[in-house]
Order: sequence, then structure tokens, then C-alpha cells
Amino acid sequence: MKGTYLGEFEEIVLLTVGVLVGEAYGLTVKYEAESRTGRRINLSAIHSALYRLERKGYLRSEKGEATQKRGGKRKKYFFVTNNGIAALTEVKNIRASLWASFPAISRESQQ
Amino acid sequence: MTDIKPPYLSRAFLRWFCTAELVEEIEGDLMEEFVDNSERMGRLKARWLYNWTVIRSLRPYLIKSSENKRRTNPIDMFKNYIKIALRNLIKQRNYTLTNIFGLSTGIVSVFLILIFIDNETSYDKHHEDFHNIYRVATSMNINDDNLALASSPPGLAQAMAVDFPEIETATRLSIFVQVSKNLLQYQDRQFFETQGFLADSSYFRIFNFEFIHGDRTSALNGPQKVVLSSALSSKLFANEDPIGKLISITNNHGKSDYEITGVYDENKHSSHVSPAFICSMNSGVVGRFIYASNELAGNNFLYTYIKLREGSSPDALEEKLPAFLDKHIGEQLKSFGATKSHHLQNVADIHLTSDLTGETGINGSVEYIYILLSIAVFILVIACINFMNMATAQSAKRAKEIGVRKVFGAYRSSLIYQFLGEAVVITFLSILISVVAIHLLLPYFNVLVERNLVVSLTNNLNYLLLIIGLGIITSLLAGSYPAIFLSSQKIVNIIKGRQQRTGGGLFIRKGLVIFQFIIAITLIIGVVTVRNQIHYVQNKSLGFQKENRLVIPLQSAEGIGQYQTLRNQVSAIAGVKSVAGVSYYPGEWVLSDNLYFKEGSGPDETVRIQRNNIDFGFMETLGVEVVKGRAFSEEIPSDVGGAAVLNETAVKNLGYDINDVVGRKIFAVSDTAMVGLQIVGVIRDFNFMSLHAQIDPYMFIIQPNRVYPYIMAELETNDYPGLVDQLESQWEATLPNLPFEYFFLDSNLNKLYDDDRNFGQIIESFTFVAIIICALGLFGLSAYTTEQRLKEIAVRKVLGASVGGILFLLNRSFSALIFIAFIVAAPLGYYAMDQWLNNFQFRIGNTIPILLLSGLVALIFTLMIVSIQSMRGATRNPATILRSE
Repeated sequence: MKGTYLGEFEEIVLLTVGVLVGEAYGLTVKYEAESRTGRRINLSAIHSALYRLERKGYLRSEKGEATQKRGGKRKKYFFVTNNGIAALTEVKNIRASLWASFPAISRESQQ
Repeated sequence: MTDIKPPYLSRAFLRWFCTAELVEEIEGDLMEEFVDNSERMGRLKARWLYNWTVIRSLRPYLIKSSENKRRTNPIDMFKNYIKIALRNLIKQRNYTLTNIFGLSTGIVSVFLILIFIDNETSYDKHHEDFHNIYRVATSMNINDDNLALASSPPGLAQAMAVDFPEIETATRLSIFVQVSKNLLQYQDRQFFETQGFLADSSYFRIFNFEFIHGDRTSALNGPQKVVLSSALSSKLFANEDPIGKLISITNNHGKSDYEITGVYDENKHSSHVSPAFICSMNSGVVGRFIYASNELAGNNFLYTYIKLREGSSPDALEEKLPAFLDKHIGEQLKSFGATKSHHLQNVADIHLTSDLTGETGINGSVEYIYILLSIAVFILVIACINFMNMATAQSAKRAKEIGVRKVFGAYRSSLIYQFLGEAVVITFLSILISVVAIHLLLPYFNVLVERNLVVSLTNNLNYLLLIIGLGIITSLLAGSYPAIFLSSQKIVNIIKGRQQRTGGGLFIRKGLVIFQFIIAITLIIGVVTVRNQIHYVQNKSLGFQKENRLVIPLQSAEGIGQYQTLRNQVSAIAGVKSVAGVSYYPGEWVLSDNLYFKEGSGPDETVRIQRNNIDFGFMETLGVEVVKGRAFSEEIPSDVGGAAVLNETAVKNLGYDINDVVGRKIFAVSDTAMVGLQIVGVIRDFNFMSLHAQIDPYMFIIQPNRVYPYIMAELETNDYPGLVDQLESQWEATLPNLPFEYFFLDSNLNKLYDDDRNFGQIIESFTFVAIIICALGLFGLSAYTTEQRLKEIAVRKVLGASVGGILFLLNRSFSALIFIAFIVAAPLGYYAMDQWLNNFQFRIGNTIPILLLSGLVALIFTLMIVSIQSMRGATRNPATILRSE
């Protein structure tokens, strides 16, 4: 299923957009993702992921308001589409089924 | 917060590369982050992060794609452009033909002038190491009398080669002294040749001329050898190989045989010397004299060339020359009261920059090149301006097309390409025509510039590139303005049919017309001035009579020996008023001077006086005016060898009072016995040489042997051919072995101004071309303006305007343009022509009437052309015009 595959970083961005309900635009996504993961993320990577997800149909966008702080430029808000939720659920289910089959010994030997 | 500004360059970069749909939110997010970061981590770090993020953002999905271009179909549009261009060109045939004619004329003119200049600047550049080859020129000063000579004394080459180790080779080239023509004979074929020279054996080792027959390096080894030009060789021997054959050369020094050792190709390369033949130095009377002479002070009649070793400086050598002269001839010069210096001229510079006394041939001039080059550029510019003017004037007709194209989404750039493309089509059609025209016109052009230029596209890639280059430059020059102007019009205005009557377009169009007229009027001023000056020099009273004076050269020693016989025979012919012998005739340059001093002074205070040895009756035959004393008289025996007649300048320079000079004596420096010459008369100054030169001190003497190389006769007859026939039969009876030759003094004197006349003709031809192109442009433009104002004219006529009134209205604006152009062109032309006139010692003075005349010519000419068009508008029935609304 080429084109609908969800990468790790994409998954995080997609989830973050979902978390930020109605408040998700480039910068808020960046801040939220950074605080949740504890990584430093470059804004350009966020943008790239957002537009890729939009092209895949997992996100949709709307033009928002302009603020002084933004130099008079309008925001672009992102929302998770039903397709997006389906994709996230699918990933989650795959993981859950994998976790379910994960043997306890293997868990202990790791420690 | 507004004072926080992100890095300007990065932002500009982002805006430049980022696609338009996304740039807003990306830039906004970046800005917001930047503001936050500035507060959290400081301005510097925030700026750094901003820059870094912009660079990281340079990802394919953000970069402005080439989608814009992809959307139009370039090939289809290109086809469409060509189709529309061709349709337009065919639809407006007159316009197209005018443009093509104008542009091809421009290209042809520029091309011809450029190949001429290319040839002019190629002189003597074919010699190996030409930058190391120099001619040693001489400058003499004798009591404030300056003489700048191209020639130098016979001993100089040898002495310099010995004294200066940096000289690799030195060689000498000499004319046959006091011989204007040599008679060359081979079996029954005989020809007179003017361009005869003698040269050292090293001559062809320094100068690389291509030899068709014989060996270049050894051709002049040994006495009595001769190298011929290919033209002379084919005259004497047709296509035979002449090597080893003997020819005899006859002149007033005698007759001797020469063995032909080489034939060189004079057409292959251009040189400042163009010999018909070169004899080895050690032959004949003159040659043997030079060969044996080590004279360093006097006898400055031959040409010394040196070749320096690679890397040695000519300036350094020049600086050593005063000491060199001082060492060898310092004492000798001091005894004459003379100073002398030598300087070096690079052989490749001689043709264009050297203008000394006694040059080996007629040299070109740099100014001439500049003038021609500017005319070439002018003509091309005029043609381009026509193109631009016509194209913008036509824009009204094209406006709808442009509007529709714009509505359908044509970019401005594609409109510019379209119009440039049309210019390219016209230019390349013009180039095709030009190539044909160049080949057809080249022979005539060669006659005009007196050269033998050859153009061959297949052999010479440079010419092909030159033409294509010209084409590209012309297309850009001519097409750029209409392309930019037409594409800049606003869609709404065009579609609404509102004419764009912006001041800008009109102003530029007027400016261009004014510029054209400035050029045209300046050229007209040039032509009229040159014509007037040439008329002036040909008709100025020279101080002697030149009409009806016939000169017969006696050519050889044999002829000169028969002088007295011939003179008596000629004077017996009815119609010959007087006849006398002379050493050289007016207009012929012979260095025949000597140094003289007056009574009561010595050899250290001398005056250089040009001498001419004449027979009794010559002054009367020439018609010079005696102002003091008398002419020579056969009744007074002491006149032979002991008397002199001076001109006014000589008297003045000697320091005598003109009222107290008759009966006094002058002494030659060489006259150690102080016998002297008695001054028996003074003649009014006359122009013995061309009016370019000033009048030199001059004197007539009669030498005791009384033999002369020329006979001059004053004729008084209505039947010149009959008289010449009689002269010829007399000649054949006395000198059956020599061909009879004669010329008239006035036509011969006119040859002195051949160069000026030639200059005038070239300027005239190209001015004519320029004016034709100007006229074409004016014709087209006035047609357009009249058409634009047809409705206005009709309304005016309905309201009672007369045809005359309307003509005045239409012509008025053009007259104003001419007037402005004249105000600029008049001082320009005045200054330029004043510079040219200063080449003449005797020149026309006031050129203001010429300026006014030229302006008037331009005005009348313009009004005529404009009136043709405005008449058509003014005489049309207003009803037919107004009905067609």
C-alpha cells in the first residue's frame, strides 16, 4: 500500500494535530511534539510532514487569522480527517496485536 | 515587537524559492517562531535558527516549480508566433519591405566598412616578429626650420648595427634618387614602372612577403638581381616562370641588365611599401653610391629598418640615439648649425599613424578609420531606429492581438519573446539579402576605397560570424524597444480600444527621430564641407599658371641627352607658345635642398632652401610672378651657374630685406671658396607642393650643363589632339627607342588631392545611404501620423480648414524636430570639419554658411517627404473618412 504508509515521525505529527483539536498549525504542532517527545524538531520538518500528510489525505487544512506576531501572515490550521483516524487506528491495532504476542521471557532478558 | 526583524536575506530567499500557495503560512510560522526564540534565547541565536530553518525548508515540495512554464506549450506557441509574424509581415508589405531594405543597407554598409578597417589595420602584421621591426625616421632642425623625414642617411643601418648589440638585423630600402619612372624591357616588351626600389640583401629576410617564384632569403644576394611583383611579372612574362631571365632597367642614370631572382605576391599581404620591383642594392649608379656610402649626416633619402632582438626595448634604444649621433656626427652637425634626431616607428604602425615627408607610399590615417567606423555605426543605428519607430507606430494595429493574448494568460515575457522573434525574422531576411548584396557591391566598393578586398564566406569563418553577430546585435537593438513597449500596455486599455497616447512612447519616438536627424545633418555638413574644400584647393591661385601646361618626361639618359634637340623641335610647332626644361615639376616631391647662408654670416647660420634647376624661359613658361629684380636672361652669361631667383619665404628666412636683396649673394655650406650665387630676382611665393603643406624656402638656378629630365610647354591651341600627334611624331623621329609620354600639369596637380577626393567620395556615398534610410523611416512615420489624425483632419476640413492649413499643421511638428536636431548637429559638424580642415595649410575659412545650408537642405528634404503623406490626408474627402465610423 504505497503512499498510505505512515512513518514514525508522521505518526507523531498526525497524533499531535489530533491532540491540539482546532489549534494545530505549524508552530503549535512543533511545540507540542517537542514537549511530548523531548526531541528538538526543526520547523521545516514539521511543515514537510504536515503537507505530506495533507497530500495523503490524512489531514485537511483551513486558512486562519493573521496576527501581528506573524508579521501579518495568516495561519493554516490542520485537522485530522477520517482517513487519518483510520490510519492511526490501523497502526495502533498492528502494534497492539504485536504487543499481545510479545513473550514475557524476551521482556525479562532485555532487562 | 515590531522592531524584531528576521534576517532579511533569508526571508528574501524564502520568498524567492517558495511556491506562492504555501509561502504565506510558512513565512508566518517562521516569523512567529523567530519572535518566540528571540525572547527565549536571544536575537543572535534566533536569527541563526531562522536562517537554518529556511535552508532546511529548501525541499522539493516547497520550491517554486517550473509548473508555470509547463502549463504553456512552448512548441505550439512558438509555431504560433512564427505564423503570426509571417502573416503580419505579409499583410503589411510596405512596412516589411522598408524595414528589410533599411536593415540590409545598414548591414551591408557596416560590413563593407568593417572589412575595409580590418584590412587597414592589417598592414605589415604578417612579418614574423613584426613588433620587433622598426623604421628609423629622421628629424632635422636647421635654424628653426624643421624637417620630419621618413627617410635616413645611407650609413645609419650599418653604424647602428655595429653600435647596438640589441639590433638583430638592419636593412635599407631606397628609391631610385631623382627618378620618377623606370623603363623595364624584356625582348620587345617594355613598361614604365613608378614603384622601383633598391634594397639590401637582408630586406626579404626581415620582411616576409610570399614568393611565388624564387627563394625569398637569398633573392637579393649579389649585384644586378631583381625581384618583381606578381603583377609586373605577368605583364612582362605572362604565366612563364621568369627566374634567371635578364631584363634591362633604364632611367636617367643609365641602362643596365638585371637577373630576375624572385617574384613576390603583393596581393597576399598589405604593406606600407608596395614595390613593383626591388633591385639588389649593389647595382646601378644610385645603388653603388649607397652601397659604398657611410654618410650619417646628409643624404637622408633612403629608409632604414631594424629588427630588434626579442625582448629588447625600442624606447631604451631610442634613448641611446642622441649620444650615438653626437659620437659620430656631433661636430659635423654643429658646423651647419643643425640638430638631428632619430626615432623608431614600429613597422605595423606606419600605415595608419605615420605622416612624414617622403613616405614610401600613400598612408592611411587613424582619424579616417574613426570617421568611417562612426559612419558605419550611424547607418546601422538609423536603420534600427526606423525599425523601432515603425514597430511602435504599428502597435495600434497590434494592440487587439496583444490584448487577447494577455487575456488568455500570456506572460509579459512571452510577448517580449514574440516581438523579439519578429525582429529576428526581419533581421535574418535582411542578412540573406545583405550577403547577396555584399558580393554584388564589393567590386564597386573596392574601386571606391582603392583596395583589393576579397570576401569569401567559405574560406573565412570570421566573416560569417561577423554577419551573424551583426544580425544578433541588430535584432536586439531594433527589437528590444518595441518588444518592451508593446508588451507593457495595460489589458483594460487595449481591450476597451483606448489608444495609449502616453507621453512616454511619443517622447521616445520623437527623440529617436531627432537623433536620426542629428546624424543626417552632421553627415550633410561633412559632405558639403569636403566638397567646398576640394573645390577650393583645385581652384585656388597657386602663384603660377597650371592650365595648358604640358609636361613631357625625357625618361632616360638617352632622352635627356636629346634635350636641346627636342626643345628646339617642340618650340617650332605652331600652338606651342613657350617651352623650357626643368628638373622637376610642380607637384612632384624631390628632396633637392641645400643649406645656404647670407652675406656676412657663416655656415653655422644656414637656411635650408629647396632648389630647382631650370632652363632659360622656364619661369615665363610656368608664369610665376617676379616681384623684385628679373628672371634669368640668356643675354647675361653669368646667370648660368652664378645666379639664383628666390621666393619670398627664402628671402625672409635668410634674413634679407626684400627691397635690398637683388644683387646680394648667398653661399652654400659646401661652397668653401665662397664664390656664392648672386640673387637676380625674387618671385612671389607659390605652392609648389599640395595645399596641405606650407610654402618652403625655394629657389631657381641654372646649372651649367643645361640638361633636364622634363620639358614643359605652354600650349595655345584649340586642337589639342592634333598638337599632341605632332609632338609624338617629333619624339619618334628623335628617340625611336622610347615610348612617348606626356601629361597636363593641372590634371597632375589634381592628383595631389586624390586622397581627399577619395575621402569625400566615401563620405558622400555613405551619407547618401544614411539619408535614404532616414527618408524611408520618415516616409513611414509620416504615413502613420497622418493616418492617426485622419479623423481630426476631416473634422477640421468640415469646419472650414484649407488644405494649406492642414499641411502646415502636419508639417509643423516635423519641422520642430529638424530644428532641434540642427541645433545639436551644427556645432558637432562644425567642430568635426574644423579638425579635418586643419589638415590643410590653405583652407576655406568661414563654414557657417555651410552649416546653414545643410540645415536648410535637411528641412526642405523633410518637408517634401512629409508633404507627400500629408497631402494624401489633406486632400481626401472628409465625408468618406467620417462615414466609416
